[in-house]
Amino acid sequence: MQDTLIHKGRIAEFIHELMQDSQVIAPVSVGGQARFKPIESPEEVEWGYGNTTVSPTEFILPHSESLFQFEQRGTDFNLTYNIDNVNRTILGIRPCDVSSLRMLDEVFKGKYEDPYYLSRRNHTTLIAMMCLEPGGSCFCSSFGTGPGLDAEAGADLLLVDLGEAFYVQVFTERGQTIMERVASMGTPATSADREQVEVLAVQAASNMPRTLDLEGLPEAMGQLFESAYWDKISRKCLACGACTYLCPVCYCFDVFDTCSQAQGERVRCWDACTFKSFALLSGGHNPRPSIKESYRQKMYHKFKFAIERHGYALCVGCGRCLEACPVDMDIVQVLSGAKSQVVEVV
Amino acid sequence: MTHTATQVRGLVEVVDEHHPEAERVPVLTRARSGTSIMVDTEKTERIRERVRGLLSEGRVEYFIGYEAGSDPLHVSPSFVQQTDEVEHLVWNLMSINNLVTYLKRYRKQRMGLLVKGCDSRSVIELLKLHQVKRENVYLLGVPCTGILDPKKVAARCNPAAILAIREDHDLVFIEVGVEGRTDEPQVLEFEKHDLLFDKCRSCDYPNPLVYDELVGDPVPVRARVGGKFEDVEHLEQSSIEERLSFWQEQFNKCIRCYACKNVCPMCFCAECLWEKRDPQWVTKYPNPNDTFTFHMIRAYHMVGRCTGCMECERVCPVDIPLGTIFKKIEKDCLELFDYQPGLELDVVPPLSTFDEGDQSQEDLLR
Repeated sequence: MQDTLIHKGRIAEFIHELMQDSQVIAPVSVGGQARFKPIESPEEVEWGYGNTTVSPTEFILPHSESLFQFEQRGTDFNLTYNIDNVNRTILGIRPCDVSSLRMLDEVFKGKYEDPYYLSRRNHTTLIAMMCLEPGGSCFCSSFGTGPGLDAEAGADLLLVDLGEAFYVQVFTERGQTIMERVASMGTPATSADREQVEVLAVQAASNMPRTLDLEGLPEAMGQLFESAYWDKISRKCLACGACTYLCPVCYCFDVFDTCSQAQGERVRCWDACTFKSFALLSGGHNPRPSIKESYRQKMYHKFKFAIERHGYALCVGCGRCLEACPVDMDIVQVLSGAKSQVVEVV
Repeated sequence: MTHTATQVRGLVEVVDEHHPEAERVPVLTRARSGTSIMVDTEKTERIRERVRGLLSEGRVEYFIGYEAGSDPLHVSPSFVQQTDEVEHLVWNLMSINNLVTYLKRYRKQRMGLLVKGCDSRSVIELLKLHQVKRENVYLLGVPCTGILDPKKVAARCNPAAILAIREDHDLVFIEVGVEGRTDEPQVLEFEKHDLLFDKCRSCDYPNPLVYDELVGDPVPVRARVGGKFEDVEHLEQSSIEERLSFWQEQFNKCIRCYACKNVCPMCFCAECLWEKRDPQWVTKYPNPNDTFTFHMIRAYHMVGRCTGCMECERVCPVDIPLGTIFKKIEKDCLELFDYQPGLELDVVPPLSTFDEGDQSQEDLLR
């Protein structure tokens, strides 16, 4: 598949074409902050964004969604399912967020298929934007989830900002179809353009401010479960949901009904393991009674259980958890500290 | 002279200590390789010395202060339990967290706590509301000359490129790595005032109002630029429809992470309505009505209680200007009851008492 250059002067035209048959989700300014939202015109797009505070994966796994409506009819119930099959294009999604979707896929189409998630996922086209300048909290290169993107990551197209033009790389048939539709807007990319992209990718990776070495981490954590280290580390945690709600890989949810007389709906919404009542059982027992247990659970789920189960950590190194943490808890420091605990013991 | 900061890319490996001051300013190397945090040596040493004393004398079980954070722009709360951990404690111009919020969790233990002027006001209000026993808290007060707002710094230079920050009187020097060069970082110079948190720019109480001892001499109140309630007055002048649409846009950003509520030292309910599951009174998802109610309930409960530490606004990941709500409450409380929370221990909060001279209900609802 031939890579293309689209001059920035024609990018509005490109977006217009995308808008023909899909709802385009792109970074816009909302109350002074960059956030991915459906756009009505290409002019709304704010190109100077870094990593948005809220990940655009919220359009695949939304904060809340109505699963179905129910209505009592005599002795029976009438159910109306809400499968979302709107065609969407997420324009400008960062490589780390694209990679997080691949991890969510494992959860929502593994043993059981989740029709709500999958319908959204299958109806969404991903046009990624390569990162040229990592943010202060980024460590995606530790996972290979950025700053560049390979064909396997799951994006349909990858854009690279070359100053005057966007370099467009095609990864999928869906991406190819788009590029065929907009063929008149671009020019074929040269090998010099390709080299420039490679140079930028290397440069971005070398500017990554943090690294996390996963080597030996699950094994170290295996020895540390009862360690006082977790008491010490979790003392400052405020048990809010900023880190989990902003994490593009955190997928825990709650399901509840809202009823009014004979009708209502079943809603699924995000939940956070850091909340005090997350693990509360009916009858009143809470197996994770304090912040120590909930914070430890978050770390073990992401960096031990997931590595053992799936072969990878449930983290893409986007740095949002650190950016948002009211008390500056740094996941890289916490995990490196855990490893060094075990080294000290040995 | 103030230079305009230019965007530069971060470098990873840069050697510390390139200023002549390096000898007298200790540099702590941080997790993000090549970066360093500048500490106020004198205050830091005093704090460490006193905490060592408090712990070894058994006066406190824990001392909560600040330690170096994830990068030069941040510090992090530090819980010190043993004398050999005292070396973690630092004081510098990024020491923003209001550590009083931890009192609600450890109220039965004897705690030592580092408080700035603003933080000390939260202690006063908690004492009045019988949330903490004075004898359980040992307060080490720090006279504060203002704290830098990481967002204001980030707006002027790429945070990933910052290697070190230091201050000299009213100037702040930020060292940034320069692309393609590893030997010589660029030093940007800023007026400290431009980088301070808004609350510090209009701070009336830089010196702690309640403390057991002070670390350093009291400092003068900073000359104020502009009115304290400017943003509130600006909103008050707009129509009710404009105000509604302003707050709707802001609250629509809310992800209900509850960072604002959890960081608040005055939000001390043992069981929070918003997290209660049995019965579950409110939805967990960001239904606009519930989100609006959440913020308004918090606001109403803070009348005569909120001391304006602005931690809620600082920690909001989606930048909702929550401080404006609490400033409005502070302003109303001042106008209606001539009361400012967190100043004097023996003045009863307005909603805990009734006075025939209080404004009428009509005045309140106007």
